[in-house]
Amino acid sequence: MRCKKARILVSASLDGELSRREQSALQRHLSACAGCAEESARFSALRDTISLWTDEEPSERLAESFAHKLHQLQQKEPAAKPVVARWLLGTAAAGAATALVMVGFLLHSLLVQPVPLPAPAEVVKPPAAAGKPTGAEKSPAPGTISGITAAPAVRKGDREPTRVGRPQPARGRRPRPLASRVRSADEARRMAATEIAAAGIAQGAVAAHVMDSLSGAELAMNETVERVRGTLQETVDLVVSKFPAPADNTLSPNGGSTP
Amino acid sequence: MDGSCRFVNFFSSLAYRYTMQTAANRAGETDEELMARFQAGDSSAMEELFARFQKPLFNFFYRMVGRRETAEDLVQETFLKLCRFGSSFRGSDAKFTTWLYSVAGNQCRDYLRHSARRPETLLRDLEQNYSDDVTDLTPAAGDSPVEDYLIRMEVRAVLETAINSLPEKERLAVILREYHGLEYREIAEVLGSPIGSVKVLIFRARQRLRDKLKDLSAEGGAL
Repeated sequence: MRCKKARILVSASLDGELSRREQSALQRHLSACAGCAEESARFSALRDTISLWTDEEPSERLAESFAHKLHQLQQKEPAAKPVVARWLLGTAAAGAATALVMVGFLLHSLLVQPVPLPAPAEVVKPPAAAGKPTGAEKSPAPGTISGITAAPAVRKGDREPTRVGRPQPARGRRPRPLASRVRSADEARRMAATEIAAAGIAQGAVAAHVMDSLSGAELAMNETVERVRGTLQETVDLVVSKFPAPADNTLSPNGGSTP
Repeated sequence: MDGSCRFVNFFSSLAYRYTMQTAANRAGETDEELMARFQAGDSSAMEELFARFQKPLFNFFYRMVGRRETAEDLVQETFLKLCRFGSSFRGSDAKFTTWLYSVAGNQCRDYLRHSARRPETLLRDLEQNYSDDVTDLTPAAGDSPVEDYLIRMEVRAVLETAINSLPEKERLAVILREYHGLEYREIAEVLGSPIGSVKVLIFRARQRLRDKLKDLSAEGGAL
């Protein structure tokens, strides 16, 4: 073993951190190397010197100050509520978000016109209709590209699709104009305002319900604590009145009073 | 009458047993059990942990930063951090003390980095402490000779200066080993270094301390 490694092991040996094998190897080296043996003695002496720096007591107000800060922290971030409160608030937020998305979707479907497409640059015939073209294929409606998909051509007497509001490019038929769905823009605005107001009311109601539940639970808990405290106090008073304490307040190991 | 007496007796014995059992449980509870109780929402468990560790932690910070007031502030900050991030502690994975000193070590490094200075042996602090102690050790108050006491104080001041002159990581390692009895494995966890590095860090710290003490004693002629 080289002296450099041996000196590191000397230090670790003082802390009892060597394996049995390392320890015996170090002992062999120390018995043969006077320099490392001297180093070992010096390290031992150093540990004695280090121990002269004894522990000091912190000030007495430290614990008090910490208890105060802990109390403040708990008031700021109450530990009992978060699980329930977070769940309830999360649910309410999710509900409100869903309502808003639905309103947005409704508004979009009512108010947004189909995007006018460019003039038919390239018309691809659907494979099913390759033999005998229909009238719709002969004269595609302006603003649409017929035959983009392989959707069958609309025949006479087919039921009109009920879902409206989005461009239906492959149907060979123009989407129904907004005017046929909503009579006027004012009506559309009125409907949107009604939906928004309904969503707002629902959101407010959910939030109020959550807050009521929380404060109700807290009140009930406080009442219970007060009741239990009162009962305990009564019991203690009763016990004290029934069994008055001995004059010197000391008890012998066998239960009797010591002189 | 008999019934009410029996009722009172029953409740008083129950209350007595409960009080005694709670006190016994608290005294016998491990740090990890107390921490689990705190995680379950019992804040008195944290106060109990504070009572257990305020002194060692204060001395750890005092040795690291060299100022009493700062050390006390850091003790509080560390425990408030434990309160905030207590949920991240897993008693099955780590010892509470290792976790505590990891948080304290980070707190200390942050402080030293922000204050951008080495800890100093503050003469004001030392003078204040020593003068208080000297008044306690007047011949009427104790039997130890004042001269011995002064020599011990001088050696201690030299030692304090020597430890404070160590590089931060070495100082942390040697303080945790010498004054807090942490094993190399625990120190490695606190420092985030392998055990082999800890072994070398402590060895180097001791070498530096030995040389520094030799120099200081030669300068002052005290040692």
